[in-house]
Amino acid sequence: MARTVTTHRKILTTLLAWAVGLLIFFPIFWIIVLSFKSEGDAIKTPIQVLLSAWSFDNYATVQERSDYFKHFSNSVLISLGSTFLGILIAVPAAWSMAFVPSKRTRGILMWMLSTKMLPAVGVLYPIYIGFIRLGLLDTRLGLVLILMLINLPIIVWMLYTYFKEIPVEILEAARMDGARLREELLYVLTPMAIPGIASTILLNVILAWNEAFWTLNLTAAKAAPLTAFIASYSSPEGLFYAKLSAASVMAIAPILIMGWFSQKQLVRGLTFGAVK
Amino acid sequence: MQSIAERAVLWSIMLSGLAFVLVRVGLENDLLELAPLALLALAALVALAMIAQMRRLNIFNNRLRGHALGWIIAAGVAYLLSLANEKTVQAAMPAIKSYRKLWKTLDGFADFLVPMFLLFAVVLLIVGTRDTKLDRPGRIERALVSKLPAKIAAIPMAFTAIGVFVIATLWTVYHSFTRSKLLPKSDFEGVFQYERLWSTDRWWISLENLAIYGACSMVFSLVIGFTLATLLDQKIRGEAVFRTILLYPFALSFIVTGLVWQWILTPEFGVQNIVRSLGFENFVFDPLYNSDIVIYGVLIAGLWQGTGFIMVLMLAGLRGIDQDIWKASRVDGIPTWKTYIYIIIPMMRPVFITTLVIIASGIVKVYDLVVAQTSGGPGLSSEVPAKYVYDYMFGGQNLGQGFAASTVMLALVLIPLIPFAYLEFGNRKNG
Repeated sequence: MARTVTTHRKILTTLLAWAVGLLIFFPIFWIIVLSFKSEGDAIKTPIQVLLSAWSFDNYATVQERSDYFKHFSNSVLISLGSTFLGILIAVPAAWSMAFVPSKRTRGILMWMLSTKMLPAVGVLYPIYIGFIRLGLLDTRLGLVLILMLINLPIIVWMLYTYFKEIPVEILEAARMDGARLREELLYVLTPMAIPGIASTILLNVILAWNEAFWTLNLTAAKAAPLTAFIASYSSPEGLFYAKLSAASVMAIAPILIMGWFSQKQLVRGLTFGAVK
Repeated sequence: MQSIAERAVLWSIMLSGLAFVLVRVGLENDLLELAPLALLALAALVALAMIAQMRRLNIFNNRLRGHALGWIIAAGVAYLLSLANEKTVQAAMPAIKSYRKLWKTLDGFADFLVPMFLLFAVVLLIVGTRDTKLDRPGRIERALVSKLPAKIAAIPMAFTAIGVFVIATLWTVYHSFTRSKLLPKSDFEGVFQYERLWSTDRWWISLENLAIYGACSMVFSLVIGFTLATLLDQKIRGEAVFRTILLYPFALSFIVTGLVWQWILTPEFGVQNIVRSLGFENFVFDPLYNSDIVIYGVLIAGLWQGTGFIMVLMLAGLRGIDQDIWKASRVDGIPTWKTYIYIIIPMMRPVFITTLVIIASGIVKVYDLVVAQTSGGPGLSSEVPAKYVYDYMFGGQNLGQGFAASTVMLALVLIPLIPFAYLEFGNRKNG
């Protein structure tokens, strides 16, 4: 429940809220503006930047220099693939932990979440060697597997919290009516958990889309997703801000657009289910 | 007697699995390489002895035949996977050929899993012949039959999440005690790498930066996030849109954040330029070019990315607080700020803990942001431990240093984490 306050204070804080919102949004807005400007205009004072000519030249240049669509399709494939695989493993696991708990369930959950806290560099090299041995270095399959692995704890945890909200009685009733395990999962549990699963999927797609540590270290050229594409603009051409902005906008646009159309799931997912 | 035999079978299968994993991750030892199959053989012998003692084995009229059949099918599937490694099969199906090395590894697993699954099937047939339906099933039946769907469902997750990370972490810790250079070596050499690590200036700078970044980002994001949330704890217009905007930075990759803030903090075009063009000609704000304050430049970017997120979490926590509490405190004449500090914050303890855990897990991993924003510069002044590890492993070709540094990082995480986890989760096991 929100605190009740007087009307004029309410107007004041609404204004303040929007000021904060704009301040936070400004950097994103600014790189979108810059991406449509020429390099020369991009480094002028803000007012001049807004007034100067707009064009799509930077986008054309970026696409020409480093094939955006290749990286884009890599990113899509990797984030969707790892999410799909993760959900496939996590739904049964979360189901078993939520509805058939044993005395070890809580311990396993804690262990699993704690792997998320460990520094990833600690496992980088063994996994790197493993990838070389398995021939997975710089392949999309390899990235799908590793991103699934690192996000699995979060997926399981989120699904577990969603499943916990579903009353066990409903499942028991289904069982009493003669539903088999498969039917119980497919026709009773899953439809009820759809909102939770949707938020989880969205969160995981975003996490996989943004993952830079593993994608930078385990790919070279073939399987490099958008994070690697952006990073390649970082140092050698540090001063070409308009092109850099265009590249950044191209990398974040899918997330921003997707997030805008699924705000509810975005908020619920990004806050790990804490905000409903 | 029965229970001892059952225990022997289960334990030797478990130990053989452990030995198998150890060999697979590269521990070279003749005895160990022999162990997996030897232990399986031992389990099989015990099983044979059990059959001999019973003098019969019902195969078709057996109450556990369905389960046994399941394990035989599993063994068959494992065998089929191992077939993908055969040259003739690969020649017939070119599609699977590109992942040759993967099949080769799987083949090694299949050699172990096929006999293990078959053994499970045999053992279940034995138990099914011997025991009629019991009130409390025997050890083997409890391990392999009870709650089977739940176990099958949880095992892939437990294996991937815990197995991979624990094994890989232990591997790293072990190799931090070696003189690995370009390639990992497995001869134990003592704490040599650690002595070198702690006498390296760059490592100390990295730790110091991590401490500053960590402490500041925890304090500031909590304080700013909570303050903003209290100010906005009411239905404002267009709240859904507002929340989405606040979460947008959090949905961006650190790489993009780093690059955006690199631009904003560049003196020639960014904040400094804007303030100067407003008339303050001597205004100086160049955190990325000043080695004393560069880490604060990184911090600003990190806060930008995370604070909106913290605020949304806090706002949700505030919304969860009962309206009556506010009414009661108003009736008692308690000032608003006191209500927040003495009543609301203690009530929001779980929210604060969740938030702290999320912030903390982000801090140790700060790597991409630094790489994108400063590449550790100017000089070494914005180095962080993760970057140290990475540079030594892949740039400096000194694996041992990297392993030692990541082991220290691991210890830095575990030392506060273990007591915390114990206190928070240990005493309410059934929760």
